[in-house]
Amino acid sequence: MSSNSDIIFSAIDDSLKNCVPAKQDNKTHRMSRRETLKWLSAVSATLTIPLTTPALAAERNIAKSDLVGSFAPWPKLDIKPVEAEGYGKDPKLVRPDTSPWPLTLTSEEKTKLTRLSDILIPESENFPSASAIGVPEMIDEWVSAPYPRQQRDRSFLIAGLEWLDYEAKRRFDDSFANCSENQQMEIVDDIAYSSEGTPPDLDTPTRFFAALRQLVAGIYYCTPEGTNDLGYIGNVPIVGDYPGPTTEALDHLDKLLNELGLTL
Amino acid sequence: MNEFQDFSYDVIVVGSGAGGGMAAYTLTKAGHRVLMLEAGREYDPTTETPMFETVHQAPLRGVGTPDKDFGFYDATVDGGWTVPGEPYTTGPNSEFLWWRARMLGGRTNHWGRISLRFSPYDFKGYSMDGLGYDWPVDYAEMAPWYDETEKLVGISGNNPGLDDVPDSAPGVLQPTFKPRIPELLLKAAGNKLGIPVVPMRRAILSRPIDDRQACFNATSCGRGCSIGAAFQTTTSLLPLARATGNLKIVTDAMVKTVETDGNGRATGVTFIDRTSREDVTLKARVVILAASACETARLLLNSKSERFPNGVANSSGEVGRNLMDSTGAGIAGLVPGLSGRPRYNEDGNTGAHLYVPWWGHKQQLAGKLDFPRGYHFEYGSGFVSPRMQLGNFARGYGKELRDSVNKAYGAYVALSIRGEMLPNANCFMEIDDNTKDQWGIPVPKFHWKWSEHELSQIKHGLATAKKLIETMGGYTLGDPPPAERAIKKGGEIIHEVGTTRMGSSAKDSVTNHHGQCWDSNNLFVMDGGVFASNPHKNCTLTIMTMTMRNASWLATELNRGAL
Ligand SMILES: Cc1cc2nc3c(=O)[nH]c(=O)nc-3n(C[C@H](O)[C@H](O)[C@H](O)COP(=O)(O)OP(=O)(O)OC[C@H]3O[C@@H](n4cnc5c(N)ncnc54)[C@H](O)[C@@H]3O)c2cc1C
Ligand code: SF4
Repeated sequence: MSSNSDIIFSAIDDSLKNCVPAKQDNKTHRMSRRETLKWLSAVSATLTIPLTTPALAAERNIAKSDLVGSFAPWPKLDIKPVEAEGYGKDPKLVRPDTSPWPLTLTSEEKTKLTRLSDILIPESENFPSASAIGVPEMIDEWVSAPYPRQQRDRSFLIAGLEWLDYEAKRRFDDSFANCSENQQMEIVDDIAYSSEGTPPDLDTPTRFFAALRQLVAGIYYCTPEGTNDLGYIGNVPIVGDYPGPTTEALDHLDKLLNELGLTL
Repeated sequence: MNEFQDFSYDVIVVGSGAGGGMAAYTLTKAGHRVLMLEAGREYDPTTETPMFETVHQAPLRGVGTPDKDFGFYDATVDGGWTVPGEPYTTGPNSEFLWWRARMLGGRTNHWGRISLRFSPYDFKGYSMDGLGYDWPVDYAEMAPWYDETEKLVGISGNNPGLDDVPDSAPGVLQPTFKPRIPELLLKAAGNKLGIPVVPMRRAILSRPIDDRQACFNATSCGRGCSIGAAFQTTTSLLPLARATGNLKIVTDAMVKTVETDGNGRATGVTFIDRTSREDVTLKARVVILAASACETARLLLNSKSERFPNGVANSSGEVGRNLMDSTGAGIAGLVPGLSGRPRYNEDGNTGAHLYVPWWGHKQQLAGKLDFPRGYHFEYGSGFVSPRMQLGNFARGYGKELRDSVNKAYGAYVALSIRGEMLPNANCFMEIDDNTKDQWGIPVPKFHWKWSEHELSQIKHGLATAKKLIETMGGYTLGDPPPAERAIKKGGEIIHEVGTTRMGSSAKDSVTNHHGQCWDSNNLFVMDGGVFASNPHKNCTLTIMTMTMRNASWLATELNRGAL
């Protein structure tokens, strides 16, 4: 655990778990605190994923007349954990087996996921959309994995996908998948950001969307295409000594040091 | 399993990790015949290491799971925080984590390779501040052994001329790796605050040695290194020892007791053959335990006889006591000035090229700090190969999402504290008489409580980390938490040592300054168990150095017919 990425990511995990939000009245840090919270809104949201919902009768076929109130209620589903084996403590690491366990999402769930993945990461000028490079299938692999964290995500994501249908039914009297793009976006816009003004009824749906975003983005940026989007250049052997930063990178640093009044 | 029975040997070495590997290497090179018993399976990094496989190709994009705690590709076989069928327990109000691996080479296959030699302060802490224990050796005696070990293991680094970083002899260290942009920024921030930032010393070759190639600056070392650039015993000490013809390695051999006679001499060991599940007893002239600090202590405590009712080598009652780990805490920050900077290949040796050594010895001696022992910072930064956690940085959707991840990538930095802890009466291990592992061997029970010394040190470290990050123009993700919350659990830093402490008296220590048990002169401990203190410097280089020194002494003893 001493690689650069280990140190960064485990410290980020620690900070998120442990750090105390800075005091409001601390003027000097005010800007940075706001900025920090902004950068982190997505993260903190997903940290509070509730544990598997208690076993309640499935309510998948909710009637529109039951959907009273300003937003649809959070579905109470009886989601059974998957029954599969993990890959064990000594899996083959060189050219590993793909999909070590059966996939479990239904086709309706996958349809919704595909749509949401592409709302999150649509095609851009230079890079493909999330669904074009298999992100929904990898989410299926994720939620079908027999490990505690993935099983928690599974309950939460499946309930969230169901909520989208409840809410679509309430607003537009149709399933989410059958709604027009504008209608879908109307719902998504209500849950894509959390702010102090988020109505309490949308708290959990907003956390659901944040969890999905974290998953979609995480998976996307691990693909070769996402990796290119980030501009990561590495994982290639270098002959001779490590060359260090380019002149361009050093020039950029010089400017930064100047701004900060620092010297090497 | 029977094939080794024709092999004649003088010495049994238990364990093939840092200590066992070095013991076997030193003795076989000196012409002695060694039988090595290793609980784990045979393991070959040249064929089993997933060098260029990307996380995209791994299940769950390689994230850690209870099966592979440190990620899918991590080179840990049949272990991690749990070993199937081999539990351990903890005492009331104690949290302790015990990392194990069941493979040839042990944890040297996946360790971080950070290799910082101890300084004169580190061997004589008690003389400095009256706390803990002095080692029964001093730095001057150890220095040449460090040089020998560093040459053999292959350490890249330099001599910055600081009291916490003693010089290696000229020609010992290999060239350093050029620092990257976020590391240079940390150095500049350190300059302003009077905090040194110097080249890391790691067991990573920048020049080839023997059959081992130089690092090609790509691929994560925690997966192991098929080209031998990152030190692990399976590509270095063990092949070299095997090549002498004097070493025989038996894998799947789980040693459960050390056998002794009525005079206290070790006569051999009994192990369980994991494949047949049968007991095998072997005789030996000398037994060396290097099963890792807590496994070795467990073995001694489980070896009871009329002569040793409390376990072999335990007349002092100190076996299992003085358990220490390093302190640890991490804090992350965002440095806007690093956002959107020019891309280039920042892999390097995939670990830190610079770090912050301890700079406060003088302040401590002058009574200016409220904690007695030092720490260092490890630093993580850069355009690292993408991982699932990047999803943490995504905001909104669409273009905003792409922009937010791109903006955060390479702009996050993290400082990780690694500090010295003092031994205390609340931190120890014993045998849990009520719990056995799948081999029928009673398991360890750990007791743990950090003291004020460690908490004050962590508090100082967190505040300093925050200052460094702010001096870089960045900010931490919230205010540092109180030390009690920030400090890692006992064992979590995986530098557990001290359970068979060496000392200058049979009354209060388990071995003498050669790792030779006071109660049993042909029984040796050559792992972290012998540590009299646990300086902030990751323990493994010193395990190997002490082992080289002690095994060399043992070789001459054997030559002159002693034991
Ligand atoms: C992720 C990680 C990162 C680390 N990073 C660093 C670092 O950067 N720097 C540093 O200095 N240290 C680091 N360490 C610690 C380092 O790995 C250990 O200090 C070192 O490996 C200890 O050597 P050892 O020989 O005592 O034990 P091990 O390397 O654990 O070897 C012990 C061997 O004995 C075998 N064994 C155990 N019990 C028995 C038995 N009863 N019978 C037979 N065989 C047995 C085990 O299977 C094992 O193979 C790290 C550890 C981990 C896990
Ligand atoms: S970075 Fe270098 S030392 Fe580490 S595994 Fe890759 S080649 Fe080996």
